[in-house]
Amino acid sequence: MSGDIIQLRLTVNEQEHQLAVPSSARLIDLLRDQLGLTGAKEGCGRGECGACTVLLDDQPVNACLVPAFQVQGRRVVTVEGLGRPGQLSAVQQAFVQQGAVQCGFCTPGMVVATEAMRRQGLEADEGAIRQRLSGNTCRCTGYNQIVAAARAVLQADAPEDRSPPYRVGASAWRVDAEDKVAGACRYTADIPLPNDCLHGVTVRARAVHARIVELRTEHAERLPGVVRVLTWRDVPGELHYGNAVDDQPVLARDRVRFWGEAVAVVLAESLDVARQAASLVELVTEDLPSVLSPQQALADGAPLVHEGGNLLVDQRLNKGAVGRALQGAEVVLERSYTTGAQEHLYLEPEAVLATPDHDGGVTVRAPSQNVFFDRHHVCRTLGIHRKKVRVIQQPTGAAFGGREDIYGQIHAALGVLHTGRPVRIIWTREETQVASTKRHPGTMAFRGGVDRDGRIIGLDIDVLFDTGAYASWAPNISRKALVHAAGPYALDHVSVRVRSAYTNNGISGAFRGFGAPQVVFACESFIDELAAAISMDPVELRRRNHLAVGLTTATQQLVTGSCGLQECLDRALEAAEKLRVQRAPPAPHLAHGHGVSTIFYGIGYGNAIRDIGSSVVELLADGRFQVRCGAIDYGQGLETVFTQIAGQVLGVSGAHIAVLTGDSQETPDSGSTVASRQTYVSGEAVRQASDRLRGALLAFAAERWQRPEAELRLGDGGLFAGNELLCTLAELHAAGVEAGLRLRKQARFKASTTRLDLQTGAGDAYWPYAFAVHVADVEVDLRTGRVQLLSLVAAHDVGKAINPLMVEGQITGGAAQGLGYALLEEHRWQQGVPLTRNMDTYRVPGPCDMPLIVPIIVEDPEPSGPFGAKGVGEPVLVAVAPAVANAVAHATGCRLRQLPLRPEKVLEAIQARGSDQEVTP
Amino acid sequence: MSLILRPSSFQQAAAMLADHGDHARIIAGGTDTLTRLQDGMSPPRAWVDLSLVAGEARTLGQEQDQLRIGALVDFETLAHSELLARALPALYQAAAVMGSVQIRGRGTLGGNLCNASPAGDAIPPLVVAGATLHLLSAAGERRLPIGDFFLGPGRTALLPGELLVAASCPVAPGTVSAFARVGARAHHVITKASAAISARREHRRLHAVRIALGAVAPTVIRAPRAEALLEGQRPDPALLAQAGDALAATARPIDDIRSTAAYRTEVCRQLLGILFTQLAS
Repeated sequence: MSGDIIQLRLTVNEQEHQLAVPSSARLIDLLRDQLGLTGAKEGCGRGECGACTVLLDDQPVNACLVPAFQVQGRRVVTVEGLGRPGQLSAVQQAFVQQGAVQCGFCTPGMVVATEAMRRQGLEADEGAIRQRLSGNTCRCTGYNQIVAAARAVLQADAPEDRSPPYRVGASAWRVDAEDKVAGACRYTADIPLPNDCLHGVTVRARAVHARIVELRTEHAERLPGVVRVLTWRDVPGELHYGNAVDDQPVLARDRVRFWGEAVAVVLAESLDVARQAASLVELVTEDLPSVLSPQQALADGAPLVHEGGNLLVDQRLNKGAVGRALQGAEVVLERSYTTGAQEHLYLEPEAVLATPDHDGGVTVRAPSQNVFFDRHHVCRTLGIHRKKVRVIQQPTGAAFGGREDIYGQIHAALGVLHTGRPVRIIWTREETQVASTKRHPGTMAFRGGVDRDGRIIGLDIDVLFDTGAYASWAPNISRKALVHAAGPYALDHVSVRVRSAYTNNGISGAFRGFGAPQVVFACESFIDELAAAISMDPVELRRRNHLAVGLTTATQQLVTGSCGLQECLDRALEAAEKLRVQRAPPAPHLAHGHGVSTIFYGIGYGNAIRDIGSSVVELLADGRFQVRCGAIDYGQGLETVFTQIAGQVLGVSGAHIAVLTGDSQETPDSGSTVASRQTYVSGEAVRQASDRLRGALLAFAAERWQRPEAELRLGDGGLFAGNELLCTLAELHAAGVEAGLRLRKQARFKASTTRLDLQTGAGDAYWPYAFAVHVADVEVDLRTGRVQLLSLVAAHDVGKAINPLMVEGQITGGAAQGLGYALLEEHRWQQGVPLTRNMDTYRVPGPCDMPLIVPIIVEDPEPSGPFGAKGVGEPVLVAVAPAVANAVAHATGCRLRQLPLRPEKVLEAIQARGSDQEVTP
Repeated sequence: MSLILRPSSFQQAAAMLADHGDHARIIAGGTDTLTRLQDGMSPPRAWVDLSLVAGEARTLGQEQDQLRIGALVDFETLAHSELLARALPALYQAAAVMGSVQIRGRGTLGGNLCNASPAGDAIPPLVVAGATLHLLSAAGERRLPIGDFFLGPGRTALLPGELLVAASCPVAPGTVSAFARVGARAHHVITKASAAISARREHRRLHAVRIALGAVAPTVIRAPRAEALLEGQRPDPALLAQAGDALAATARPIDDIRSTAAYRTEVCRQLLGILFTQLAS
């Protein structure tokens, strides 16, 4: 029980407070709920993520692990106490400048932890900095830019006083960084609670696969403070929704298909009451035989997860005649590879705030990757028109594909519909871990042949994905796997089959790479195995087979331009070699090795799916330009990219451009922010809309001021003829309005792909393709099997880097996630029951796990993209694991075909090596 | 309803425990306690919050040949203590890699011991140091050899009404010690397997060898067979390999979410070599 109140006196940010708080409150509750200091974030609730770090008497602490009663009489400093927007502290300023901020959710904790080092007078030693930051997890940046910021502060480097210009190709500061470093950026859970707001807690089934016998809510409803308990009966519209298939119930009706599935939502006056009531909801189930692997799912007589059968996807691609071709090959290998489930682990747990509108509608605020999809699902399930629902993307604590699915949005909107009151639902980290989607576990069987002179004859590939209990994006993810399985190689004979099967293992969905990381790990490992089989340097084998302009992919798509693969390969190898020669030889218990991966990656939806970027650019009355686009900035920096593109075209500085994104009412639908597509499609839409507006304004001005149009230009402060100021932009706006000129231009840009043939898979699968080469150098501890990445050279053909600092941030961040996928991360179940339920069991790389990363930006311009740009978000992650696996094989002589490369497996392989038996874990 | 009691001394705390019996629970740095609350543990009727207990409880010191560490000394203090680096390097090393700076600043030696996790990193160093634990109750102080303190995962020999106030151990000249562990990543991680060693080096021979293993049995355990193999010997690779095999044979690990029994056994075989590398440096 926690009804009792204690009196506290303490100093927070140099202000004295006297507060009455519940004895059960933690320091983080006191700061956020009572003082409104929402800079400290709750990411895990158990001292693992560090997002709640504050100073307690100058010592950094996790505010989630300090009981409020222990801060009696003490002094607390939060991120808000260090500086504010416009008056940033040295640490905050360094974070802005070094590109150390992406989604920003970890940022306040990182800033405070760095401030603690500064106050302690720590020396600017990189290793020491990384150790002191090990209590803070970042999932976006890969830490290196954060470490650089800390070093700059500890060295007392003089800060820059302003950003490089907001022009294409400049490393301009992120437009939202200042708010984020100051703790002023409001994520969904940071929005002050509206009056009368109800707290929602989800009731989850503790069964893997079961028939629901009875769901009793009376006890919960009778608890004082409970307003309503929602079940499937309360869903007025369609009960089922889904991205590709409408197979997932808003709340389970008659069947539980995975452990943790939502069956009810309790709405109560306080979170404590809602939690208590949730434990009083009685769910009676009768266990059904469960399906625990896709292999089992497809076996004869397997229990059915869905009535229509367990096989959800079966896709094929055929080029040439691989069977016949392999008969004539000099060397034929067969290998099978497996990969585990990976969790996005964005630091902001799912959160939603839904509020009633005066017209009977509902506004939903939540992190998102597509507000229009969210609106669609809410409308269908609530059975109301889309004009009644507005979805606003709040600043989002990263996404990585995980926010393409619906989590609490429908539940909260449903609560509003039934109670007429605002509803807030915030998931715990445990809920996020068990109920959000994961990367599909995969089994990839490869058969392939090669000539002694290094010509790959053909590849025959069979892929099986575990899609879990619901489809999410499985068909689309499978297609991405289908297209990428044979790698960036020009082969005459390729056959690929990709199946995806229902099981009772959680839900698999979209995750950075979208089906490619699994098959690319397998393919790039297999290429190395083929090379070894003919005693050829694996790089040479790649050189003899890789794609180039004029050659065709496995889908028979002709490569016509922007193919920087060769340059990536040359530059990556050269950089890696330079690092390698400087490296001291390993101690006897260590082994060094290096490995390469060469990849291509299709940008955009592909397969002729409507892939449209849309933007409106308008001159406002105050003389600023507003860019509106329905795309989402969830930390990757899209708003900054738009600012730079608009700034380049319109000739004004960042301060004169306002960007609005992610609002289903105020911004044009620009599709999902996925598939590394937004810089390409929406960036081009922004460029075209800006260009049209500029053209219209100059044409109007030429007429109005009677000057040759060629002499006129827009710039900071106004409209110029040469260097002569004709009028301010506000005056230009007024003149335009007076003349009836439309001061708003819209542009749409569509990526051109074609639909793949269902039999052969032939077609222009994606457009454009990004290319990358990674070279990993590893050190393997032969005593413990531990793999330490020494360096990762990551060369990426991005077409054009709109903002090189942010591209580097994508590369180091993607590298960290790829490194986790390669070595560490696996969401695990035991008989369908999830085991890795928080960050102390699901580990992701920390600052000390990161290697030296050498990003190399290659710019082979894409003619259709804005200023030649393609995309970079996903390809980085895709390329890491195979390079690491190839490096481990090089170092140890052991080929591991299972991700992650846990030390347990590595050591087992090393020890089996002596006994001359081949290890196939 | 939780009553918050804030004693200013261990004696007062012991008296409060006596008053409230099973309904009271000690809280020091709170890093373990709050995660348990998060996992659903009910709050006690009374918290005995040790925040105001100062003095000896929060210091470590050496008097003649005895090192004494107050139960409320936090791990940041231990990780920066020159005294500890000289007197008991194994604990100094363990403190430096434990948790994160945030956890180390709050977490106390007493908390780590009373939490009684087989993976508790402070335990193997104190076991090899032959530590004595000082337990206080309203009835007075009693001393317990650390080997008798741990009964199982999360279970200790603390009696109702008793609290841990200090650990002490002898500091012998010429004695060296080291700690090594293996975890899933470099820092801020729970140990998969760990080991500590303490020995006196005379003419390159080892005497009074003590070895303890962490996270490979229900409690931290000693490795008597490996100790006996090394006793009075000059370690060479062959002997270390033999002793490593003895360590592996001593371990009784399990498969769990962090690792496998097989891997932990193998790591035990290797840990001795790692410890000796550390001793050499």
